[in-house]
Formats: sequence, C-alpha cells, structure tokens
Amino acid sequence: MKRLSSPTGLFILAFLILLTTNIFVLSGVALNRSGTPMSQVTLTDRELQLAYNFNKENTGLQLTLDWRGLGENAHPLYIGRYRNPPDWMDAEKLTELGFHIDARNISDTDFYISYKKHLPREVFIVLELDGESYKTALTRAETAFIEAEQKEKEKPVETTESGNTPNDFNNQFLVAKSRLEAERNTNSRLFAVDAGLGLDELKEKYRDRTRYIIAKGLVNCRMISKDGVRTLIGNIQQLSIPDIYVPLKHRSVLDRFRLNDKRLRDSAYQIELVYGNRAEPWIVSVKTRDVVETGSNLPSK
Amino acid sequence: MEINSKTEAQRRADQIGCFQAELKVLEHENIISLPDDQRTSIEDYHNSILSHLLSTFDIDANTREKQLSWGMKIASFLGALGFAAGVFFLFYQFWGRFSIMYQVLILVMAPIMSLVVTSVAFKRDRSGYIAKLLGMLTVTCFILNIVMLGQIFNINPSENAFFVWALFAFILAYICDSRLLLTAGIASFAAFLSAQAGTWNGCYWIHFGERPENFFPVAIVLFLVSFTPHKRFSGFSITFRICAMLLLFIPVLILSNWGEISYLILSNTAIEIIYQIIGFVVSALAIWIGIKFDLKEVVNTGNVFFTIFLFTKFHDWWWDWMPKYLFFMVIGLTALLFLFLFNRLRNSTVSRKRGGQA
Repeated sequence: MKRLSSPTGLFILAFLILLTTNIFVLSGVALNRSGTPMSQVTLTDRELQLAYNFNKENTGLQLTLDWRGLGENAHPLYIGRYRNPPDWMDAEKLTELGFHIDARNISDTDFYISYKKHLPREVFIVLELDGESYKTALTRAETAFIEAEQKEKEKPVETTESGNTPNDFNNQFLVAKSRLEAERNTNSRLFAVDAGLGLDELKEKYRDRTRYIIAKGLVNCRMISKDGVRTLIGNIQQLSIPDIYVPLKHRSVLDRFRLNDKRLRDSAYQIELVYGNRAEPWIVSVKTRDVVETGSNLPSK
Repeated sequence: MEINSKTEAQRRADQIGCFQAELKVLEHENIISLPDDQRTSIEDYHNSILSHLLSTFDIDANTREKQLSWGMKIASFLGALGFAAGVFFLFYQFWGRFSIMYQVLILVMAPIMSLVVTSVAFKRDRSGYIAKLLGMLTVTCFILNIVMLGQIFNINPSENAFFVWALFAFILAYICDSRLLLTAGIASFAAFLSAQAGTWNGCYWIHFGERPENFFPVAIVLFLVSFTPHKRFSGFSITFRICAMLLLFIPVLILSNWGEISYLILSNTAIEIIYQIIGFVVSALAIWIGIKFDLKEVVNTGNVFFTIFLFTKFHDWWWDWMPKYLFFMVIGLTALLFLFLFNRLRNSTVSRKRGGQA
C-alpha cells in the first residue's frame, strides 16, 4: 500500500488510467463498427450540411444532420426548415418515454408547475428518409401554394408609379412559392417518425436499414395553450450526436464545397452514412451529384 | 520528528524562525539570558535542521525567498493555463490535416509523453514548479485526448469522462502537491457527481446544471473529505472546504432568487423563501463552526455568503422604493452593527480564554 502511495506508484497508476481509458474508448468504437450496422443510408446535402465553424483556426470538418418534425398544427407556410414538435409526440408517448404524466390533470395549475420541472431525457429517435412524412410536408406545401396562387389571382397586384408594391396576399404567394421550391429541392427529407426506450423493439419495427436511422436524442415536454386549452406535447430538442466528423480521406469533395468552388455551382454531394450497434454514426463515402432544380410551377410528381 | 513533505519542512523552518525572533525580543527585554554553551547548542541544532531541510525540500529560509517563491507560483500558474490553452488550439489548428490513424496516435501519445516528462521533472526539479506546470499540461492533454476521440468517432457523450479526468487530476495533484491540479480534479468530480445526481432524477446528464440542487451531494462529500489527513499537502484541506462551500452556497443563492429551476414542486415564491432561510441559517452555522473549530476559511466563506444573502434581501425589500442615499446608509449601518456584534463576540472569546488560563 505504501509503495502504491509513493510518487512512483502514483505515476504508474496515472499511466494505467491513461492506458485503460483509451483502450476502453477505442474498443467501444470497434464494437460499434462491428457486425451488421443498424442503418446504412444515402443522404445528400439536404440532410447533411456543412457545420458552421465558430473557430476559424479549426481545421476539422463536421457535417450537421438536418432532420425535421412534422407537426399537425404547424402553419403550412412556416413549417419549412423548422423542427416542429411532431404530432405523434403526445402525452401517451411521453409516458412511454419515461415522463411522469397524468393527462387528466394537465389543465390544473399545480400540475403545470410540475410539468415545468421535467428535464430532457435521452431516448432513441427514429428518423425516416424520404418517407410518408416528407410526402405529407410536400403535399402541404403544394396545397398552400395553390391556395396562395388562387388568392393572388382573385386580388391582382396593385401597382404604383414606382412599380409593383406587393400587398399581403402577394407576400403570402411569394412565401408559398419559395417554400414549395425549397421543399422540392433543398429542405431535408429526414423526419422524426417515432421514439422509444427499447432499441430492439424499434429495430424490429423499422427494419428497412436503408430508410430508417435510429439515433439517440433528447426529448422534453412542453405545455402549449391553444384556444384556451392546455395541451402537453413532446419536443425533440436535439440528437445526442448532432454533428458528424468528416475524416481526411472523405474531405476532398466537401472541401471544394466549403471553399465555394464555382465549378460545383450546379452540383451537390451525396454521403453514405452508417449507424453502428451503439447508435454512433460514421461516414463511408462522399460523392458529388448533379442537381436538377424543380420549380414551383411544375407538377409535384 | 519525521518530516515527509515540503509543507511540513516549511512549517518547521517557520517555527524555528519564530523561536529565534522571540528569543531575541526576550533577551533584549532582559527576561532571560541564555548561557553561551546553551545558545550555541540551540543554534547548532537549528542550523543543522535548516540545512537538512534546505537540501532535501528546497524550502524558503527567509522572507525574501518567500516573496520570490510567490512570484514562481504565479508564473507557474499562468504558464500552466497558457500551455493548457496552447495545446488545445495547437491541435485544432492542425488536426484536420491528419488521417484518423495519426490523429489517434497523437491524441493517445500526448498525455503519455507529457506524463513521462512530468515524472522526470518531478525527480529533477526540487522546487516542484516545473512538475506542477507539466502536470497541468498532462491533464489538459488527457482531456483533449478523450474529447477529440469523441468527436472523431462520433461517440455518444458520457459523464463518466469527468470521473476519469477527476481521478487523473487528483493523482497528479497529490504527486506534485499542486492546488491548481486539485481544483481541476474537484471541478471534474463535481461535474461527474452532479451529473449523476441529475441522472438519478431522470434527466439527461448534460442538463445537470439546470437544477442547482444537483450540486448538494458533491458539496457534502467534498466537505467531509477535507477532514481526512492532508498534513503533507499545502492547503489541500482548505481548498476542499472552500470548493465544497462554494458548491453549496452558489446553488442556494441562485435558488433563493430563481425558484423556478428547483426540483421542489412548490410555487416559485415558496421555494425562494425556503432557500433564503437555508442560506442564512447555513452561512451563520458555517461562521459558528469555523470559530469553534478554528477554521479560518470556513468563517470567511460563511461571512461572505451571509453578507451576500443579507444584501440580496435588502435589495429585494428596499431598492425600488427607498431613496438611494437611504439604501446605502442602511447598508453602512448594518455593517456597523456587524462590527459591534463581532467585537462583542471577540471580547467574550478573549475573556473566556483568559478565564480558562487563570
């Protein structure tokens, strides 16, 4: 014991801590990447965007996974890129995720206080690529555009001596138009469609590994008031791993985008992303892809 | 008398210095007059002890050396912070240009190499300042090691990293007798245990700071640890106690003004009142414990927080409606009242001691 508490003994102990911690971390990485991966999806610049670099001296490159939530009540003109609380994240789902909710007492003031006390919990989030949720978002954008176009036709643009002055309807039309274009061409097609505590159950339920990603994320609950009625909703705050590191061997393509290479004006990138057994992602390949822009005046399908 | 550390050696040397100074005063005032043979034997004895301590522990033999040591301490502290920040930015500047294999190699080897250099410096540099500086650099390299591996391999963040950093920093702090390393260890351990307290209450660990009550268990643990024997280490017990009290009083102060973030399911006003009472009672208790057990740092920290709690309350009660001159007058009068109270307390302690001696 005395030998262990001597400076030499303590230096050896410190060395062992360094060694075992690194072995533990690296074996965790190997474990994550061994066996059949949980998901292997091909994403584009719509879903994986170059992360903002706050420190200009930082030479590392990371991509931010851009996902969305489809809220039933979200205004069709403004759901665009925003991460709306998904409509399926209700009081029942929150209870399933471990929040202690008594739906009968949501309107009670005291319970309102208790709900404020809930802090975010880490759960598994299922993200669907180019699935039903994306189709719904696209349909909503198209419907909003058609309605705005109709209103614009009914009330044409007023003109002044200096030229066109868009009125409210016209503004709404422009917003709807740009949103539809964004929905078709640039917005992420990755939507949060489910959440749970049991990884195996989710893997069993969402078997298509090329369409679904199961990642860890943080969920909290929020009380909203609509028409005087209090409702409790769940909100996905963020994914536990929001940014994905790009190794040097995959950087050549992305660096050109980062440096805004003019030759790449009409192209974008495509990335193969894998999620391993511990729900930790890594990049397998990065390629360029051609972009064909779809305008708002074309049919959606 | 066995002396095992620089702190004990310095204490012994200071004791000899005090004895010599007091002896001079006593002789000057003609209270005693030592025979030459006794004086010589005392001087020889002290000189042999001091030369042994100087050669073994590199202590400060006089005031001038002590002042220079302070300069070295400050330089070592600033150097450690500078190197720590430098290592972080150095890696960020170049890591994107390396393949994963080289990144891992650099990250794993950096703390190992730094640890080896620290151990060499520890053996060669008797002052210990270089070893302390390198020890801090080693801890920084280890933190960078784990943080960057997490980023490179996109690993789910875990609070356990704080535990290993704490363990590592504590070991180096005890080897190098460094309070800066000890504080780094305490900060990591506080983060770990508070995050654990948060997860026990169901929240995701990163959000532990959103409920200040999560810091209470670690404050209690650190306060108890401070009473374990630390004689060999300079100021370790004091550092533990001050950190423990900060981890207790700062959350109480926050909760006494912002009840919304408490775990308690009560109205915000009720929570704030509860924590205001706790703040006053515990800080007053700290002053009493400090006086009773002769713990200067406990008295001082208790004093500071009692004053903060009092003035926060004054601000809440009177700032809005009282003219500013009157508000500050009240503060001045309160300070006078405290002076009066402390003076009474001091006089009663002195008279009790005198009574005991009689």
